[in-house]
Amino acid sequence: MAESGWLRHSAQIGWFEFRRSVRSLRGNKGRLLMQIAYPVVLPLIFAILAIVFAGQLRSIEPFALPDGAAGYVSITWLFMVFMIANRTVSQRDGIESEPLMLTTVSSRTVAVGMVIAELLRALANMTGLILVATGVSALVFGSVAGLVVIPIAIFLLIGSLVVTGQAFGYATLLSLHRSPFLRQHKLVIGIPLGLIAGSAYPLLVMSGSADWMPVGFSDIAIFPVGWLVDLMVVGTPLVGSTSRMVGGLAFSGLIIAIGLPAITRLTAEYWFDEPVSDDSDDAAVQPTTPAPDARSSIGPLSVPTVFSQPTRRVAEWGLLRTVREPKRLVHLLLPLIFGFQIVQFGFQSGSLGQILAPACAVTVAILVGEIVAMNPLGDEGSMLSVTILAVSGTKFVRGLLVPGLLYGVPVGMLLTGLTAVISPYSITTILALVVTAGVLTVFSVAIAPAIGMALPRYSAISVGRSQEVRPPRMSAIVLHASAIGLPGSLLVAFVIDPEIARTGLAIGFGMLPALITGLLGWDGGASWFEGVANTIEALDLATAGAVGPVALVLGGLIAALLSYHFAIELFESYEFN
Amino acid sequence: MTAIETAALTKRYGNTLAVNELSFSIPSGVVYGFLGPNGAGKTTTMRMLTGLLEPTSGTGRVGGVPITDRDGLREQLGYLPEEPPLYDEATGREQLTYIAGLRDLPERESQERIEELLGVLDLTADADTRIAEYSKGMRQKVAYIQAVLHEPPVVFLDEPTSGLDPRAARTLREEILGLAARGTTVFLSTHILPVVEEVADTVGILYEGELVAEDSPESLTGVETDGDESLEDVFLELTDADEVAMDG
Repeated sequence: MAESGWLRHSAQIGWFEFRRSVRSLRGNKGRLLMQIAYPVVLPLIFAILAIVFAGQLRSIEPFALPDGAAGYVSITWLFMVFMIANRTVSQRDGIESEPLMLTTVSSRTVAVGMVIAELLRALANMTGLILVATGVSALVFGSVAGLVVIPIAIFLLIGSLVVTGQAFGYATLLSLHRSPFLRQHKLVIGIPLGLIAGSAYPLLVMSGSADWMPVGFSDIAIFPVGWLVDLMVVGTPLVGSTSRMVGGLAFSGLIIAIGLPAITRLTAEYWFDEPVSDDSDDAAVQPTTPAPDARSSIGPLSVPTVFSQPTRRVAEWGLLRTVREPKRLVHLLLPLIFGFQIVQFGFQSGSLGQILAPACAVTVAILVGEIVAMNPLGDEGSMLSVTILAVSGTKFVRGLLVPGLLYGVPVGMLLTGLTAVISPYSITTILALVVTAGVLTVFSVAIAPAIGMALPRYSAISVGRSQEVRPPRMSAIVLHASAIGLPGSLLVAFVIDPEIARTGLAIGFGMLPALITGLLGWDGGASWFEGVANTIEALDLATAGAVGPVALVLGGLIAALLSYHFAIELFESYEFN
Repeated sequence: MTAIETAALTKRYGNTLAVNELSFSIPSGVVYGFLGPNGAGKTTTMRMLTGLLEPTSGTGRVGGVPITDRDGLREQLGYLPEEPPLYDEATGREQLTYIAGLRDLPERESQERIEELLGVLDLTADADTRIAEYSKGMRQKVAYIQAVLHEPPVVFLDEPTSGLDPRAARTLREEILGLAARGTTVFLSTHILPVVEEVADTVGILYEGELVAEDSPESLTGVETDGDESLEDVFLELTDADEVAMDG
């Protein structure tokens, strides 16, 4: 018998799942802060701008909506589809308590409930913008139509992208279930795809109108979903095309109408499907496949026997966990994005050659330091008590340092050297940059355990279906990245051109504090900081170029040594309260 | 010879008194059944005795080493917490090899011992399967092996038979008795009272942070004096708030 009231049940599931997401956010202050930034701060800025410039906005003469606007919306829509598909594959491939849910209501009810939950999550992020856009349309331009068309257009835009993203996500999951080839090569295929999609979008958004781009926003405007923007601007000085409004409405509506049954069917197949085995027929005889042993798993990254056995084991374990559970490295996205943005800046400004090698020296140093030892106590999980009772703090901390020092330092130096090939720098500068990369990586590796142990994260977060991933705390990542990134950037600046470093110092220690104190109304402070800036600017370049790097390296050395001993102390004095 | 001894061992969390002036002495080679209802302070006591938690006051020694000397304690004890401490990413054999390495045990001898214990606990066939795929009982067995791998003179076991099927539970009980026969002191905390009745030489009952009874199971149940109480009856009487208040 068909389930009666399934849509009501779906709505209940959707609302319940949405509330669970909100509650889980409350427990993670860092994520909550980031989550609030977009839906609250951005609309707030728009609202303030709209109030400030209300007069000017009202005086704008009507003009035709440029094609680029629809193109921009389309490209964002496509990127968000990718993001939702990715979320479906990695995090939301099923509902919590799946056996209970699927024996209580139909899979269609659950599937639609999950669409509703995702829709609510997306809408929650957009509520501020919807309110501000609708408010501006109604109050500034006096458009009553905006009160209706903007929410409709945004709902259709988000609804169509959620449905499309989830449909693609479930289709991918079903393919992975049924194809041993895809299951075996999912990382090889998925990682490049993810990187391409993840970097293509910001590149297009930032450079969409640049002459050198082969594809511009106007070219992408042929995609009908983007035409919803013609509907959104009804009642404003921007004039959209009526035919495109209708086209956008019809197309997005069609996507939802086709997508929902598709999701229902895909989930029914996926949730009740047994995955095919990765192994040959012989596997049927042997129920479990032995995993390769630890040392062969880490392959060439073995740890030499010059280190004591406990230190070696901790180091090998760090490498092994990273190889077997790459999801643990989700926190590296932050420094990666930072590095990517520097490269993007270099790309856009035509100074990629000058920027790439120095950026590489700093970014790789940060990344290497954050691979193994940014959350050593939390990483141990339930093993922490046994580890503490089995090994001394000195051997444990040394084990955490070994992978980075042994493999990270050469990698950092090699990558910096390779990227310097396209730089305009002299061979001496390149060599100095390579050495700097090595030094920075040593410091980065050395301070990571202390920061990770001082700011540990013990609670697991959900990455993919795993509930046991404990990425470092955001504060630990930011502290570590800043501790290496800021002095590290100054050090590479000294290597490339001491004048840049001197200007950087003058800005950091003089002009910026002067600006802030000036804004705060403390004129005495502002003039004092201006004096500091002038003093720095007046420093002899030769002296600054010689003293600056030495002082930075010495400071780094002291910090590294103190961090090492601090980490040992933290491990030895750890208590289970 | 005394394996574990405490004198007025106390742990206080703010205004909450978790363990109150606990004093006992356990000779070597015995199995000490440590009982108490949830929240009685058993885990806190075990953590203090294993050096994982500093007492608020009082003293304790395990294998003659003060419980505040974590370095010294490493050699003296093995610990199996209630939640099996394992890495899901590792195989059973890798986990044990790793712990042997952390303890700096000679490689060949430790490998032989790992194989022997895997065989005794019927885990050899699954030793190269990742722990993530293990059943609860298999996880418990691997965690038990890692607690006794270095042949410590004192072993602390917190609910070691929890989640085990009857056959595996029996194997582990026999292992515990074997440990004691070889001179190892076993400090056994469990809620499964028949296990305590079967293997413990002495039983200590903790209630609201205080040791309310300590004796052999036979003396506690009155078997020696023709009594007919079970350990469960004794436990329930001693840990019933109303009865304790009336007696007091």
